[in-house]
Amino acid sequence: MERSRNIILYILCILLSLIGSAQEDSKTGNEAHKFKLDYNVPESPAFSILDANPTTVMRGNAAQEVVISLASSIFSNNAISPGLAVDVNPFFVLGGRLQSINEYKNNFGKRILANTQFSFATVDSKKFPNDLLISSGIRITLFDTKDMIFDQELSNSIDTELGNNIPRPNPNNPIVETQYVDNPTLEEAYKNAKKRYLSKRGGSLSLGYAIAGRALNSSYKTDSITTYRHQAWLSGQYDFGKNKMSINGMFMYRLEKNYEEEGDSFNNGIISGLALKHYGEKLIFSGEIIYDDVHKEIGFGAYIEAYLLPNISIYASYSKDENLNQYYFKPGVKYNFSESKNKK
Amino acid sequence: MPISNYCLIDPQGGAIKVELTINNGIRSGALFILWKKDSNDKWTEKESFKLITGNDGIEKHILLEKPAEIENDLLTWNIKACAQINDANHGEFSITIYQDGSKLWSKTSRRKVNYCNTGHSIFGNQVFFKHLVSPQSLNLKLWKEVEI
Repeated sequence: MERSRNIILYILCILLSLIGSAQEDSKTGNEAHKFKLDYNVPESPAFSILDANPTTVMRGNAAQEVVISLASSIFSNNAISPGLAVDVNPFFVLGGRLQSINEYKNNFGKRILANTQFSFATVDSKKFPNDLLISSGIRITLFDTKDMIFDQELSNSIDTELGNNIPRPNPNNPIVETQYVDNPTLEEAYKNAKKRYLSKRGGSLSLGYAIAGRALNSSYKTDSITTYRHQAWLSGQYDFGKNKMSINGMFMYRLEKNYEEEGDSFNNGIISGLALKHYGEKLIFSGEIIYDDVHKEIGFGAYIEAYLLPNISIYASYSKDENLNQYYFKPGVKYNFSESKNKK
Repeated sequence: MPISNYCLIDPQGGAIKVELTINNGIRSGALFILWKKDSNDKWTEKESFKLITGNDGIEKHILLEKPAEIENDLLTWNIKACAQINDANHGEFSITIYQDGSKLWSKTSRRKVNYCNTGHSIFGNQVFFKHLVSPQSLNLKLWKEVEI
């Protein structure tokens, strides 16, 4: 009961911050539509270490700015642990600035900062029924050759449009207050850029680290939290540019503590996997094969993600739950604040 | 007209350069028009130019009109801008006027703009050109005598 209250409290906090964000964006006359492709939202690093992600093999592409993931038992049986993950890309959120697009292109350090994601999650554990699992992680995209900021054709289209039909500045009647204008030509330029993105070959690589702890008896007092797992990984993605197919690979080292009656012990090993993904306009589906050296076994998984509502994707997977050592159907919801697929 | 909208120029100096800068990866296109009042007290266009700040976030233009000929002229502009990078939709826009390498006048404003995939934002302003009174000017000497 206490754990459920905590999770509800988290959700309320997130909703309040979302309302604030929505109000801020409404000042521009638009919703929070931005510039990354929402059908390639990477998995939450903090969910990964808690095995709450729908897939094991994580994507390598650039992070989104703010993504909320909700793992739910609503559509499943009771074996699935409900949980919440918040992924934030803090560079701009915390006031980071760029001089220009060319600085983003040419300054590797700034580009790394702009593509670094922090992640926080909590799940209501079935393995430790009296405790709440909490985790945090960091994910850094080292490169993404399909980063749309590098699409010079799109930049040229934007410049052409911005240079056309500028209202004549009449004397003694300046537009002091900013006016926000919808621009179908710019929207069309972005649609064309997305088509180029889908048919373009390219790769990306990211690395990450996450740590997970148990809040004993769901208490957040410092002496009640114990660390039970660490993991670090490298994940890569290559898009073939044909049939909207991509291959993903991941290489992860995991160290975890076993809690046993005769005394605690440690397990460690490599978890590696390959996934083949198809990126459709409304649907993503994938299959993956994983070798888990920690548990000395080979696993399989299937995944589907649907974009039915603006900003929201619903996903489901069929994969092994390591905590319960059984295959389960896992549903969930992602709320992507970085862009809407079905705008307006 | 606030005093911050007046730019003092040297009528005997070199050409006037107008520079537009914007940071944070925001893209912009601006239309500038130089106006002169005619004998009927109506504004007529003398010169116009566009500045597109592009990937560098900066662009400049040298006025064709000579400094000696733009006393009391008005430079007005409108800027269309949009943000290309996620979460970077706030930026500082600066219009700066240079003469002979010296900054004569500058106006910086921090604006929030639309994201490029949905639209753009528009805003503008204006500045009057006035001739700088030389220390050797007869008028200035007269004023000094009056003050004494």
